[in-house]
Amino acid sequence: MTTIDTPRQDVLDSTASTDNYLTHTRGFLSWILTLDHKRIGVMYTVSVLVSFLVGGMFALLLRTELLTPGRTICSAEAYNQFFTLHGAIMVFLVIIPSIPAALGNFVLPIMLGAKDVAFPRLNLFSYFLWLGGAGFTLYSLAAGGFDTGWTFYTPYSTTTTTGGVIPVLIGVFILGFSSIFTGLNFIVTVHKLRPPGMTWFKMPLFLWALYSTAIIQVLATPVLAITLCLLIVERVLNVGIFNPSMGGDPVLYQHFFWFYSHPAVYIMIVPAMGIISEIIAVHSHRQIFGYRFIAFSSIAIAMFSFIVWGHHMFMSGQSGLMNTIFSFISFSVAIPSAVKTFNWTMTLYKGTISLTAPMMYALSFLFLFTIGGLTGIHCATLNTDVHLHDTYFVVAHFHYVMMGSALIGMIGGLHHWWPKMTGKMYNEKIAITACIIVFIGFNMTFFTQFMLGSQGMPRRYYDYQPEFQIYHVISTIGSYILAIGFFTSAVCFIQSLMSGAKAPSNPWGGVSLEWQCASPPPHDNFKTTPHVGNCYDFSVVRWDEATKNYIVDHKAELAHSTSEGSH
Amino acid sequence: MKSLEPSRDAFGSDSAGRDRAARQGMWVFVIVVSVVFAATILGYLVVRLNPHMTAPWRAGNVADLPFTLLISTGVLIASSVTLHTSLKRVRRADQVGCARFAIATYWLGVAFVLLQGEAWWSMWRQKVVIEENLYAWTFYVLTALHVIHILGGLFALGIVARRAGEQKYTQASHNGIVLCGIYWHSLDVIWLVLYATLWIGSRSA
Repeated sequence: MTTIDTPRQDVLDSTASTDNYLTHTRGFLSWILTLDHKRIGVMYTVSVLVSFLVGGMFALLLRTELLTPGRTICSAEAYNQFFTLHGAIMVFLVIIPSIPAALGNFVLPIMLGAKDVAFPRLNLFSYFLWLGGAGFTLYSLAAGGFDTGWTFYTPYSTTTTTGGVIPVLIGVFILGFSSIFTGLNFIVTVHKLRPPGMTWFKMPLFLWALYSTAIIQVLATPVLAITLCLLIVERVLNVGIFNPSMGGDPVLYQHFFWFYSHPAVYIMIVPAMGIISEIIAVHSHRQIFGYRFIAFSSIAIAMFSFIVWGHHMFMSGQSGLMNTIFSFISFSVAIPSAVKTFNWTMTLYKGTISLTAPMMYALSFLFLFTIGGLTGIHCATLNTDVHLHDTYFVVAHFHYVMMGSALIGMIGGLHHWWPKMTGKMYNEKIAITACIIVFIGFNMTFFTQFMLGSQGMPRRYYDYQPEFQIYHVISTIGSYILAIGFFTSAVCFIQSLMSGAKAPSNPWGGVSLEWQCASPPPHDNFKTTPHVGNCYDFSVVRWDEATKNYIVDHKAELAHSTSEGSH
Repeated sequence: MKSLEPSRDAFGSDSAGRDRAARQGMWVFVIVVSVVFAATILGYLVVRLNPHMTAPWRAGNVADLPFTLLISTGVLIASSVTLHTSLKRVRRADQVGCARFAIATYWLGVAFVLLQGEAWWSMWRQKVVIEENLYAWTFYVLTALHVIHILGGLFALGIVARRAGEQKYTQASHNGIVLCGIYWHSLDVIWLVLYATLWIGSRSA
């Protein structure tokens, strides 16, 4: 292989300050073959946002179809494909990689004070796997699409005549490995690349969240991999362990699938919670409340995630005892989630809140996650779930969690680290407007679906009773507003890239290490091993009017850390 | 092989740290592989012990697991022993011995794959076909799953054996053999569990 990089004497001489990861080398190959975690993070971010656009288009199509009972714009078969594609793309291509692989890749090593992740090559390989998985998923469209729902339940998925089932299964299989290798990389990075002074309890909470997520990725995703493998074999050979006529068990597929896919929900939400911890602390300039509780609640959620999968299967004929146990454990997840929510609220209390776009998204998160979390209790309760199962109530519930929380967290994080990633500031007014439009559109779209569901509108249906139409119309209009909101957000980002003001190194007043290196960061992140202090002690930060930047006062920081040490 | 981006190494001069990280990464990967097999074996047990089975597990005239599997198991254990010996030799600075045992491990691995193929062939000859029952299906799918992982290990073993032959491993620096060993021994243990499961599962109705 040839060396892509030019020799890097330039970093050492006086031009060093102008060298950053974006300008370090140029050309398409220097990006696509890069081993720099920051560039890989940026490539993931772009890819995820493109997938988000595609998945969102399918959402708009299916919402438009639901404007009227019966046919509105497309056939029932096309509708089945739309919601399946919307689900599969949003889950596997967008939300699962959105925070760990995209923002996590960019931020984790810098926050940790490391030069890169432990295995940069594996990191790039993960990205190529993502591309391969996305390719197969797209190819499935050309091969005839698939209408199985994103859950690929047997026996429908092994018997449906749509031709794209095997390609998409292969695609998701490959995406799973992308996710596993990212998780593996992060685990080893956090264990082995903490610089001197960066103890576990000095780590910013986003790192705790990413670490917990990585554990789930490594332990749960292999189950999905083997499940999809067995499903592919079964579809090809027409025999297999999910086929009841042979003595197999289709419910086994559901167990396998949810053993992965429930933890996968936490792969989506836990890193978003990490982002919210960062945003709330930094933008209210106040020491995070209950650091250890937030840190351990991430680990607790990761552990709980493995023993609640059965709550997806209350209606599958599972025994009453199993249902009761799963219901009980599912309630328990509320504890660590509430611990986080209360700690964030306490951090805000008497904080010096800056109502920046990231903070607006964080506040939206608090509101939407509370609704999403509390409605989960209805779904985990056995007797109400019998009624709510497979209705729009469930759809609304998981959109509040997966979109209203995980995705809103991701967009908030993107605003938060945008100046760091691009070296440009975005227009705060446009960004906040976008956030408000998204918030209104989101609630309009999905709150109505709680009502639809509790009145008995089943999910995934093409046709419905006329009395449901008013809710469907409101929901569809909401989805258009939501789209306008995201479009405004895109305008904001594009405008920032084209004509944004130059970002200072620390626009928000953060103390964690990423705010102590330049914006955008240099190729090697840090020239010398950075000093690790308390990343939530905002008393060491002061505003510097001359440079329009927050400065971390290392003398004050050192004084603090020695006085802490003398206790 | 020239590095793509020589600067992209977060460990810098800390080569011991880099080796430790690589070993930890390999252990995490072994956990990933173990979860794959644990799930598979669990799925096997669920269908095997299903009290409401609608089809017979194994029709009366279907052949037993082939005897070849016993031989291949022996070969795989032997390969673990030789790989470990290879590591012990390089730790004693015996590069020639290290290379000899690494190459022996590689060929034992190849032999294992061939023997598994023979086992498949012998089942096929006795008309144990996949469409008939889950006994056949699980036999082929589970052994194939293991062989696929062995093939990955063989690829790594091939590189390690070649590098050992070129005396690239020294007493101070031989992490490649250690990494390969972590994976290979784990696959060995996994095979023992898998084989035991298949064997017990194949007995009686």
